[in-house]
Amino acid sequence: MTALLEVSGLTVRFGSPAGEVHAVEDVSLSVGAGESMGIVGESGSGKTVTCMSLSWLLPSPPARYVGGRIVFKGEDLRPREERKLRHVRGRGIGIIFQNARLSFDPAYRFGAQIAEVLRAHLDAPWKALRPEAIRTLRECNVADAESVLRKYPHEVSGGVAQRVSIALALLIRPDLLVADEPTTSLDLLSQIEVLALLERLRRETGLALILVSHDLSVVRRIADRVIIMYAGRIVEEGPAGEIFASPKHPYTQGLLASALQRREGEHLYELPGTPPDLAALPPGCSFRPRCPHAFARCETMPELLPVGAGRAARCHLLDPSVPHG
Amino acid sequence: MLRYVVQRIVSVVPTLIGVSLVTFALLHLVPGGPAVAMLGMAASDPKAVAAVTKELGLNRPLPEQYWIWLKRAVSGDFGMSTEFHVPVSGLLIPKLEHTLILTAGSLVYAVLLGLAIGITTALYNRSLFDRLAMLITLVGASAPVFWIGLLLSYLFAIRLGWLPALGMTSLVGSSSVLVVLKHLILPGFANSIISLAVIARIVRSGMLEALVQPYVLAARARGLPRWRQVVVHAFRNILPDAINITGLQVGFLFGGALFVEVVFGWPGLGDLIYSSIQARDYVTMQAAVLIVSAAFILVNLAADLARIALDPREV
Amino acid sequence: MSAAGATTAHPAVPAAPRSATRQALAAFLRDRMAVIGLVVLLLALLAAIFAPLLSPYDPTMGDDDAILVPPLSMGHLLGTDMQGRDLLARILFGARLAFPEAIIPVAVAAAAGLVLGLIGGFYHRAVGEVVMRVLDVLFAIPMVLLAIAIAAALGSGLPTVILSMAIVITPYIARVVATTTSQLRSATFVEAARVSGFGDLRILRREILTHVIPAVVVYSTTNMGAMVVFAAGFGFLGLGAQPPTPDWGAMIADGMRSLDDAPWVSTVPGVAIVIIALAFNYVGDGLRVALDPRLRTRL
Repeated sequence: MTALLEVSGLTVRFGSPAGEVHAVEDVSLSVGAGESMGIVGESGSGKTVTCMSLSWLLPSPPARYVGGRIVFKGEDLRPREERKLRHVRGRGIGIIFQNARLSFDPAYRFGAQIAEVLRAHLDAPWKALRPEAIRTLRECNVADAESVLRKYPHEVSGGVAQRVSIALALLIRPDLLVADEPTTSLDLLSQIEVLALLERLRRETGLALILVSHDLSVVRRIADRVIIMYAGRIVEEGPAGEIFASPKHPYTQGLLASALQRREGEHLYELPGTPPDLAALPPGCSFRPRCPHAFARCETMPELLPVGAGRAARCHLLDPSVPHG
Repeated sequence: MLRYVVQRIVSVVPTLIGVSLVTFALLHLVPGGPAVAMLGMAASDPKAVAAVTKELGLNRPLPEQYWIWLKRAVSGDFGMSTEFHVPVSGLLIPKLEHTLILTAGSLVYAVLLGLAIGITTALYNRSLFDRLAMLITLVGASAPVFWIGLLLSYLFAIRLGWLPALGMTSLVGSSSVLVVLKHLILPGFANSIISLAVIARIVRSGMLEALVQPYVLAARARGLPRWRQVVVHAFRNILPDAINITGLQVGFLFGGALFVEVVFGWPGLGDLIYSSIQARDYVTMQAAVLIVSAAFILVNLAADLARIALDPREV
Repeated sequence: MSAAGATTAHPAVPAAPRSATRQALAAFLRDRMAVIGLVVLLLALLAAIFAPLLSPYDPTMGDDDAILVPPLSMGHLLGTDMQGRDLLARILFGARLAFPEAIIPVAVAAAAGLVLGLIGGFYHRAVGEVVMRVLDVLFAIPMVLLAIAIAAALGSGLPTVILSMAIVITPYIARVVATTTSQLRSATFVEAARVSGFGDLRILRREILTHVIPAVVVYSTTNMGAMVVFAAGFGFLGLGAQPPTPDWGAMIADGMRSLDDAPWVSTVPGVAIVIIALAFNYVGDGLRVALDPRLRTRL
């Protein structure tokens, strides 16, 4: 089965006064139709830049697309082909943003903005599309959909805005929906609702989903496969259940440990140290300064190697060809 | 908001009164006093002086003098021009119209070119065009308006002969609109340069900020074409600031018009004030100052109200 | 097995912070254009002061044999005007008017504006309100016009120009001072001073003044460039120093008559004005960034 989306060797850098920031380094992933993938990492891990790059979305200065190949539905997407990309954006790959309210223009009402997007993709007048828009809003648990259409973004809560944004994404019927931290800026109740909504939509429409989050519990509920990112690289990947049951990479282990401890109300385990400065990465494994098991070999960057069926990790500890003791 | 509008309109009244006071005071600043000012050359004739003294109540207490003056001014009687020997009021209105035409023309230039340059330099930030445009606007804003007018006049009218330099006096009758527009090209542009530079800079920095807003990126992510991202979303959000700065420029354009008129012989109030200064025609000068100030206040009011109307959310 | 990898090195103990003045100076010097502007201004100032020594000719003496000589000619670097007067000489001597015309009105307006603004911003009732209303009226009259009217009524000449400009700019500075004062009035440290019994207004003035003065300095210097241009307007209209004293604005007007054949007569003084105004603008910008710590970009 050919994957819906195949990304290989994606490398993205940003120019900054402090030096060039290596935001994403050699990331490859693939998502099949109807599959759901979670991308986990702290802020600065490169997860957001990765998912924003899937349709070559980031404006090209300041971002620099150093390398990478993206194939969507069998078609090779090139960074500069705006016309083709414009059709893929929204229709093929939909995106919902962390702060949904900010993703809407404060100067226009929701109705106008929804209409604008629909008119750009579908060939029907707003009058014909409006009933379906209202229906979809209702399906996304937007109460009082009619009046929401007349409201301005600053007039609704973050939860409502997020649901509108999901409804909008769905209205153009994408094959893949990318959700960048969709619940992070919401209150707890809304978080649960939005996640439930996403799950239901997946079941009902067969939508493929990429969910990006720093929160493991969120990812655990929805993802089939999980990718763990650190300092711009993938450090572990595999089926969700297995990764959560037996994480192989020290970073993943640390993440899980701190999440678990927090839940059981015990003494907090926090990963020591802070994520590295992406403009001045030390040589070797980026996790070395914080890794409790680092040893001499870690001065060189480990490769991403298979560690079981459908699993891979980037760590010298797991590399059978590396002597360590 | 309605309250603000009413307040704004009402605030014009004390300002107008203040302006009239200042203009009235000017007459008294002239060495020799108002009689000399009003009579000019004829001030050596004691009979004429006596007549004027009686008419203006010059030996009455000052507040009463002001009242008399004000009454006459409101009824349109500003006295006789010592230069042209006609009632000043007849001179003023057509000249005011011409100045307003020049101001309007400059405004059109300043807005259109300012927007164009501001948006383009923001879209092509850091390019050669951007740097060059910013440099030229900075230089243009550091130069006297009338000097630029002269240079343009020399270049386009004298050397290249493309456009007329002078000769707008024929507007007094109603020449065709086309003739007026043709004569308007150079002085209008010369006057607009400083305002153009200001508007371009504000639009540029506003657009630079707007273009990196999340909703613009979201628009791109949802598959909207580039022009929509730039115009419908980014530009729309800087519109209030652009309108605001444009409103503030109207006053400057009005003032600048007065200078430009001298260079191009445009028959407006500036031209009138200039010649009345040369001829020491204080009567005309004072009336012109009053009218121009009143017009200035009203023009600013109109610009302010337009700004409020175009953007009801901001006040 | 070794312990965890690299330990972070201790950051070096920071050097003692430099005084605010030194930091401002350093920030200013970092701005290349501001430094160039300052150099240009200093050179121009020196040229103005030493004009009698530097100038090859008497600026007021015409030479009937050298009428309307173009620039880059033998003996006349910038050409001559309709009366045969050397333009370079007139530019040099004109600088002796241009600087006072730009600086003195601003200085006077800064002083007057400071006083009026402090009153207007500090006393919210009666006196303050009156002052603010008066300022509103002065704002309503177009700057250009008011200045011209005053100058016309008082007669032409350098003092009149300076006085008119000072009167016209004062409201702008007063407004800046008033808004700053008004804001500071309700600031915590002012309240604290009041509560500690510093009922003496003079001490309160000291608190507010230290913040207001930089704002006035910045506003004044950024607008000095515009003042040069504004002053030229007076000369152009014949309201400034009378002939034969060379005034840059008046020189432009003079050149109008011979624009067809000798465009340089008007162009040269204009270029001088632009250079000085630009220099002031760049210096003003540099000062603005140097004096406002928030605007400085960190390296």
